[in-house]
Amino acid sequence: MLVQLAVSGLALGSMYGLVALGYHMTWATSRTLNFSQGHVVMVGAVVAYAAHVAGGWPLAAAVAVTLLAAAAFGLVVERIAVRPFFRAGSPVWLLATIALGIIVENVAMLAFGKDARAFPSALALKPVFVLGAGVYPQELLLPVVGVALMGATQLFYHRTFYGRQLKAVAWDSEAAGLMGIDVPRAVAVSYALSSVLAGVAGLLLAPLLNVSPTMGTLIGLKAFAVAIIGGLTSAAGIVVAGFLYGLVEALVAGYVSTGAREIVGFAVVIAMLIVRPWGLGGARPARRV
Amino acid sequence: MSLLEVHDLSVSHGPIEVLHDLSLAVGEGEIVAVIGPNGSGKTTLLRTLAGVLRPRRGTITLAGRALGGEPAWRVVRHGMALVPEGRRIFADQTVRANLELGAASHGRLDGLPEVLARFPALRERLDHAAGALSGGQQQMLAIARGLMARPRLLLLDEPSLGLAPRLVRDTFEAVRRIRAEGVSVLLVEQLAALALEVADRGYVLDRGRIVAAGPARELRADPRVVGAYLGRVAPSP
Amino acid sequence: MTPAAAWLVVAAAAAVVPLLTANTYYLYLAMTIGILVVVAGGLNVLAGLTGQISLGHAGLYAIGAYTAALAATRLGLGFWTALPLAVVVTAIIGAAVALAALRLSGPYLAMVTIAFGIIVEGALVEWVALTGGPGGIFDIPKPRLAGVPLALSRYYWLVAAAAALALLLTRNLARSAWGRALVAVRDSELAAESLGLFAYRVRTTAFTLSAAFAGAGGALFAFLNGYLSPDSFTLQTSILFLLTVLFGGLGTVAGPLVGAVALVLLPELMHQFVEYRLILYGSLLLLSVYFLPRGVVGALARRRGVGSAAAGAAAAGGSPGPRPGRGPGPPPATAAPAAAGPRGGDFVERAHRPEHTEAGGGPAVLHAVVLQLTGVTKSFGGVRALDGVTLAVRAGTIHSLIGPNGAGKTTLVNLVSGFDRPDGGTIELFGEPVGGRSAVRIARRGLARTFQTPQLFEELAVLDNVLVAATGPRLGWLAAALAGAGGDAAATRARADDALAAVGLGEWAATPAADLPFGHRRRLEIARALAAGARVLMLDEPAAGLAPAEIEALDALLSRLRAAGLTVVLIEHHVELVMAISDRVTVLDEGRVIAEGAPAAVQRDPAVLAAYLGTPA
Repeated sequence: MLVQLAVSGLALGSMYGLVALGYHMTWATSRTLNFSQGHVVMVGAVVAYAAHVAGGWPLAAAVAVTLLAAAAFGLVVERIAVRPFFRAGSPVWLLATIALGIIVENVAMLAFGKDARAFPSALALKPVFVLGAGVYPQELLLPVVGVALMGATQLFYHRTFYGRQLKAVAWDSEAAGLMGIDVPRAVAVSYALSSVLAGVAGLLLAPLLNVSPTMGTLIGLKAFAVAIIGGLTSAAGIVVAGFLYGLVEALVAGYVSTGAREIVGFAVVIAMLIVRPWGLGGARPARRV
Repeated sequence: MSLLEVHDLSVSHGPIEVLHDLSLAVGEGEIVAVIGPNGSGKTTLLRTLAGVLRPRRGTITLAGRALGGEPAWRVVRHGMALVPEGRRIFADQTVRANLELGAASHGRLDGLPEVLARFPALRERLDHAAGALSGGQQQMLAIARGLMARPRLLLLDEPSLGLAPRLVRDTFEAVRRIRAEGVSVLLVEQLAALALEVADRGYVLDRGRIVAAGPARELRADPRVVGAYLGRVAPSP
Repeated sequence: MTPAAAWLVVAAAAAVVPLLTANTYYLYLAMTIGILVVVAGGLNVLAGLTGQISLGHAGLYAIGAYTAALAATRLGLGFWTALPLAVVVTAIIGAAVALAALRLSGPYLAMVTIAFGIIVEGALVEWVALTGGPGGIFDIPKPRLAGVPLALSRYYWLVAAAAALALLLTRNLARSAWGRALVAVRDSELAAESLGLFAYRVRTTAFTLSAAFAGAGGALFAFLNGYLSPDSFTLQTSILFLLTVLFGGLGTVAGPLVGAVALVLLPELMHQFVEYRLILYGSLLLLSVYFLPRGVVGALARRRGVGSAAAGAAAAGGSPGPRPGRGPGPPPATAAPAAAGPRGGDFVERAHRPEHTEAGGGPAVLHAVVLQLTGVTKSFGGVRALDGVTLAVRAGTIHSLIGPNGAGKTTLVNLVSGFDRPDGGTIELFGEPVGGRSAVRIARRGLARTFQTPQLFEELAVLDNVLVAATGPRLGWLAAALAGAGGDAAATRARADDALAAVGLGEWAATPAADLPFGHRRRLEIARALAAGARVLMLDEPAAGLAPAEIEALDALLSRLRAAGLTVVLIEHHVELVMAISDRVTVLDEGRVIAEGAPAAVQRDPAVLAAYLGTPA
């Protein structure tokens, strides 16, 4: 049982980390977040379902459309809920993104219905046996894809010219503008990329969790918890925190109860915020006067 | 016609007017210094020229093109680059990456060897983290980064700030070399004597207005310069 | 229609509802509005006055509800015991959450409150022995009065009275010294701390109070419903509470009422679209954030366009801050600053009485050293901002600090005033070491500072800004504030009036600080410092951006302050002012003192010239 729990915990944790990396991307570039990030995951799953399962499209096409939809949602969020409040300084974007999330969730409910639907996948049909435990190949796929994507994102940021421009915007947006970098567009791109990550997470989770319009809220909150535990400014911290959170969650659910799972998880976040608010990988900020 | 022409520029910070009806010009191949005490508006002037701030009134014309309140990232593309006060390099990236980012406005990295030839200290440290460089080296990096944008006019905001005297001299040497390559320079400085030494012409700014202007050599001897900084010295009793 | 008349109409309408209908559904709806008003009223104190967003108030609401239900069903307590018990329990838990959460801001604070809400929700389901799990608690007995169970219509009046009480208490709070302190901490934490207020303590109090209100609302809900299940206490409920306050008008008295009525009745009116209810809420939230930053009440107040904003908002029943207590309207265009002279003289007398500083002691002795820095160092990263600075400021003098950009002047002010800690060396104020102490404590010892960019409490009137300083940390009992007895002592008012007169801002007392012309903002900061009873004032670039006439007025004001026995440390670039008014000038360059002495001597010092202008090669 331990192996089974560990595998599914790591699988889920890798997805939390992926979504959390999205929070990190927009926070680093613009000091804002998409509080409806969880709903982007849901959009990913729902669009994939609609295209592939209901619409019968080949998987590749469904994946493409899912990623496009996710990116589009990200751009919409940035344009409507973040950009107008960028200067204001107040956390109004927090409420605006929450509002968008509520609207999207309920539109999905009206269009899709409230019930969860199964997303059949070849990788989630028959278990394989690893270390004496039965696990779905999908669960083994998730951490691999998760780590690969997280690695790709880091490579993008550190090795490509455009990625370094985004890093520059994150470090000092005014100086980046002086280089000729289109800062508003960079922020929009960071939102699009962050949403694509969430969309991929939705796609990968669909066969394991079943698709429903309400699946997004809790995932988004847990990913935010992971981002805080790992440190909103630290990509490496977030990756590690994701796996840890998923593992702890699975073990608590398996050995204690599923209800305790949420309680323990969020209690850990509160503890972190009391003791070390800047996260495992972050650094204490200085107060400017 | 001058490379840069500024007419009746007025800039406000919220409710207060910081620059009042300011006019100046920079010609091709010139080094022009704007000097004045703190709070006189020097940095505000450069930031407005660079597009970081918007003027209330007045015009800014670069090589005949009017820059009507365009954002900074567009102004760079028109040929005017600002090396900001405090350098503001990207400390989390390498020296090479910083230099390449300087070319983000046009994307052509072929200017790198030329720039490195002018700043050999940087060539030796291409793969170091920019944050690990000393103050003087960071200043060189900031200027080199500005040059990577291939500007026709380079704006320098207080390049001497926080530097030891010897490094300040090196910096101003670099400024001379830049002019020799055909890039005009508008230099804002607190250290008036040094700035006037390297410049062709100067403007003296005091509380948002130009109170004196002319060839640098003449300004060096002008009592209004000292007066702007230290007040009129009271006659001894 | 005056605000009082409007409220009377509302009260009458509310009272009459049970007489117009016996339909239990409508009564239930009306009571839902009432309970929402209670919870939103408390949240209004937190989000409106104090500026803290909580997305976990459903958790507090749940604690109130379940505490009341358990008290009634397990302990057999009646309504009249269960309700206060619920309030107390919720307040205690709220205080605990606040202590954890309020060190943080923005998304971090949001996360703590969300996490709290989710944990409570989870506990309601999991802790079956206590909460009955998913099945919840049922058969909660009806409240009894004189042994007789209350009929629904009578319970309605109870709830309506509770709602009215909630609004009344918040109104009283907003007008009290406590309310002023909450707004001050929200508008500028820096300035509030520089006047002796612990921002953290003030905010925690607001959070605890809002928790108490939520607990009361929960208890009322429990007895209304007769049963409780975890479904009523979700994240969505928390968002609904916040939306009520936002939509109605953050910080306004009527906001919670308007918001509650709108959010409960709107879905009812669109009952064929009941599935769209949440979309409606989401859209309202988005709309509020875009078009109604001050909510419905604030938007209506703006339309009236009465004189000063404070008067206008008050007229519409929604005052963002306490009443200034003087007549509203713009100040008469007459008095010149110099006319403040004679009045300022009263202040001269009062300045010699140090009863409101912690340092206490007798009147200032001329020429004693009041501020002493010895070998102070401070580095940022690898850069030495201050490199062994030694400096003595004597009582009753104006001591100026000048130097080129980056010389370390503002760093020095921050270290002395407690907004940063020195790495080495000592700082002594009135003979007591203060290096490394917090800004609040140093402020209470009699040192005040102004900021390079004036940090005013923008939403408060000018007089209220100064009253915050005059009151300082002595806010009185919270209960008194809620009861409407939280007014200012006459001595405090007098001190505030005198401070305003000393700087020549007397006619502007009722103007919101945000509307002050620029030249007067500095003066308000100085008035605040005076009202706080500071004996040492550190002014950071007070002349920046002032017109010549205003600088002359500043010169005159500083002279008056010196004559009154105050000590002024002036950081300035405006050389003429410095040379004209200073007794002593210290010149900093690259973190070191390079010259010190009388202004004329410093002006001629070649080292100073070199530092400013640079030496030619």
